[in-house]
Amino acid sequence: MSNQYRFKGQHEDEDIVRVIHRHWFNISSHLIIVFFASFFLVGSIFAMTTFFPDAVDANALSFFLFVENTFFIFIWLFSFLVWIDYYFDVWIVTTERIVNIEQKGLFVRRISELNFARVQDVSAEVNGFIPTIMDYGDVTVQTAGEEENFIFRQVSDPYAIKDLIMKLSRNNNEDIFRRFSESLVGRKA
Amino acid sequence: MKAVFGLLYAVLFFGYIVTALFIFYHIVRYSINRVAMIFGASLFIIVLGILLVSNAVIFFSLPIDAFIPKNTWF
Repeated sequence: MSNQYRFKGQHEDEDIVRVIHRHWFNISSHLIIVFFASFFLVGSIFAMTTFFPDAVDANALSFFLFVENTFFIFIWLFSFLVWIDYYFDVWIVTTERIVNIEQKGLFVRRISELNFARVQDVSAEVNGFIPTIMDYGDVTVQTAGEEENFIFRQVSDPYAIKDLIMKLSRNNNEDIFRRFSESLVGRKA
Repeated sequence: MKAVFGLLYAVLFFGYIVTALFIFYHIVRYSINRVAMIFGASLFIIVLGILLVSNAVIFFSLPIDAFIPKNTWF
């Protein structure tokens, strides 16, 4: 996994365990708009030329094609804006921490991270008929102290993500304890 | 008359280019997967290029004078 992905600020000895996006159903409402708009535009071209060939002269057809082409450009740009908003919203689980990158539109980007040493508890929640069928929900990571909880919103297979974070947190704590023990033994010697 | 429509079209075209540049910049700058970045950026630029060129060709072939009534003051 780590060879495929690389993010800015990644440490030299840090490996990426998993990259998590929101469930695809989350952007399906936007994509349905894109799909139907495209279907309508393509369909109207065929309808005009097939069912009303005499009603449309060459000038009107040129103008109609120009309007259609303009709408296709808008649809294409809109699709990628939706895609950017979805794909660049990502949670990266590494061997050391969880990095949350939130992309809101084109001009707002927020990055936060949580070290496994500060993880206190992890819970997963699937709420509703469609989330149950599609298997997506929220994972909440409770942090130590008064810090804000880390929330993975509408992610696929939330229970597996919860288990993964618990396992990595446990491994991290065992690692810290082992290094501390070794340092104590080293001092005694 | 053609000049006015040409100017309006130029503004619209400039808007397309600026939006496309922002999208392209985001794809290239913030992708964490290199393969997906190359694929996404290439697909976006190629399709948009085709659409923009065809849009410009169709616009400049439009008989603008035929759409405006003869007694229009501008």
